[in-house]
Amino acid sequence: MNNYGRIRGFTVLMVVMQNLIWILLIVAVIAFSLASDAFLTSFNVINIFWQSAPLGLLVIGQAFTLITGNFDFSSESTMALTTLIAAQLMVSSASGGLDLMVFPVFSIVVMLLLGSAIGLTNGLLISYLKMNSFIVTLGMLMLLRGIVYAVSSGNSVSNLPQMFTWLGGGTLFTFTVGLKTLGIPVAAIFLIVAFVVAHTVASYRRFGREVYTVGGNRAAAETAGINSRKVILKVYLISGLCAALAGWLLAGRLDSVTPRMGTGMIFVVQAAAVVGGISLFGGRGTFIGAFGGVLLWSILDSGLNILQVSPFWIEVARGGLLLFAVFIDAIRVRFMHWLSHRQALAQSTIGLEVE
Amino acid sequence: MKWCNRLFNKIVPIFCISTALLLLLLIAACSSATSEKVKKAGQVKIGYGAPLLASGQAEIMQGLIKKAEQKGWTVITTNADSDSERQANQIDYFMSMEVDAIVVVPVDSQAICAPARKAMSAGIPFYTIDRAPVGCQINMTVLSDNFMAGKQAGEAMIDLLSKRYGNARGTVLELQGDLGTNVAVLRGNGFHSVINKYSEVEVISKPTEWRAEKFASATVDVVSSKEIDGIYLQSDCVGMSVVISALEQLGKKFPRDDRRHILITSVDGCPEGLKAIREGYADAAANQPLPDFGIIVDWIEKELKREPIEPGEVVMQGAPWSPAKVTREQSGWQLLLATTRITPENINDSSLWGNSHNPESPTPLKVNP
Repeated sequence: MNNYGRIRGFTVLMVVMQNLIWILLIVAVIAFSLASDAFLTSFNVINIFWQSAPLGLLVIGQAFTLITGNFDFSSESTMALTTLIAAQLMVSSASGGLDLMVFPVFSIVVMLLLGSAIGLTNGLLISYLKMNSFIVTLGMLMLLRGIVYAVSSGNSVSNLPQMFTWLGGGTLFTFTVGLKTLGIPVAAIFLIVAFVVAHTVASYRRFGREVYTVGGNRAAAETAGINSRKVILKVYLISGLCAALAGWLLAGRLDSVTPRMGTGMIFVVQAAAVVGGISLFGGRGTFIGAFGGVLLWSILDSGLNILQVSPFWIEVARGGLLLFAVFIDAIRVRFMHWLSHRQALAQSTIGLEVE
Repeated sequence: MKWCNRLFNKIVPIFCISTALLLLLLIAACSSATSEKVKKAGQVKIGYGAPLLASGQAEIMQGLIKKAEQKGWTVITTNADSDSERQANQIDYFMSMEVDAIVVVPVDSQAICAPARKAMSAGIPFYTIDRAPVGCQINMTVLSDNFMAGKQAGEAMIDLLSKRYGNARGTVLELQGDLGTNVAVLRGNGFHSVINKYSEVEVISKPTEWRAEKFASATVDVVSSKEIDGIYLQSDCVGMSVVISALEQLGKKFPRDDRRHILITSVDGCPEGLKAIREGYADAAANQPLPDFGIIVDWIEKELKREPIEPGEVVMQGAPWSPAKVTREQSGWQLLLATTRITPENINDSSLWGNSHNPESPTPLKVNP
């Protein structure tokens, strides 16, 4: 095989590594469906998509910030606060609300605006005041969660109007299987649409290219004339908005908002994003991969629980998967460097006799 | 190489998304075509969802497992780690595993309704223990008569205050649980139904969300700034040890025979609570029959055999939970188990579940998480 063929072979290997998430997904689905016949039922598959929806939205927001090389640890608290305020506006005080009985459309608008505002605040602090994204969003995580408890007085809100819960809890195209009435969850459709939109923006629009450039090499982005501060501001705004959408989905599914909503979710969000191929160093990763990461996470949770694996070992498995993903990411970076080095050498004529 | 690029940058992603969609629809279509599997007759499987495994929840779970296994049933257990979303997911998994009934201790009484409705509309009976749902109707809830427990703790506090001062007066710190649970509301109401009759007793109430660190911080805050005669803990399982440590930290930990002793009454009857009474730092408790919540399996059996449930009283001689009341409430059937008052006199009674545990050398509970 000549050099060109060998590089092509390596490129195929690299493509495999980049799409590793899909290979893992297929392996996981096959493994679980062989191990238990409760796994690959329409009911369970629908649940997997249903459970993935809030996580998926949070991952979209997180992925945008991660690609620019920044973190957003506050999104779980943003999700809780925006949803709590929206819920309190809509229901009576008997169900934990404020008796304002606001029309759901208005409270949804308030929720999305609030999420964007929080995202904007994060963005301003991080990109314009040049504060460290890790610390700022960590601080916001605590601050916003504290506000959630203060505003709710520790009480939950329930009996949300059907117009509000339709997105997270409603179904379309219902059919019956045995005693169960199933349908395609609206949340699943919304999730897929959100990822398609995110992927389109990231891969085919100028803003997406700017995001990747800022993440890949900020100095080069500045030289190329990209206003990197504005880009970072926008990604945090997106993250805040996505957190509000995630809360809308979750509240719809549970028909309630508890002050603890989303606590601890931030770790899973980071893990799912990394497993899906979003690099923690910025500049790399696709939303298709991130979608795969979200699905894999839910499939793992569902499959291991149905097999009645101890929760302790489930945590071990999830941690192990995350470490494996980071490991693959590191290898891929080194491999790409090696590959480009060889390609550059192959094109030079140093040391070759030229007639 | 251009075709290679195009393939992997554009076509593979579209392919992957459409595969995911197709998979979903395919499975939906395929599974709806086949009829429901014939279930293995005879083997009854129930799913149990614990909210966490600390402070008495393990006792409740063990009690239920024991009573279910006496009937030859299998119990699948999960732990929601205080996360209502996780509990909802776990209920989904129970449904996928096609259990015959689901029993949970809800993490949040309001958030449990959506998953409960989902299970019941699929024909799976739904039961809760220790906390009743708010806003929906399920098959049955079994809990201690929390109002009675609060009342017993209140009566004990009044008796102790009267003994000390001749009449009932003084300042009492009430450490409330999570006000989002109806348990805390009832224990508070029961306590106040007694205390409010005595105008010279002042009550300072502090919420703790059933968290030990909040029990401790509330105690430190209030006891350091005011002269407190008594403390009422809505849960000695969660709060007793940290409250005693907090008092020690403030230099206010005195045994019963000391004049400066702070009177302590509580609800639950956990080993920590009994130990504190034995050592003289606490004075009374209302015992929750935690391991006996498992008797709900008798009512689950009735439902599975399609037998009717009657309201009324259930009596079993000698059982600490007897007499129990079966009533019809807004949340469905309710089985209220009686609570008993623990004092230094009956502290070593073997029917108190806290005595089957020696906190000094704790026997590791075999828990199937």
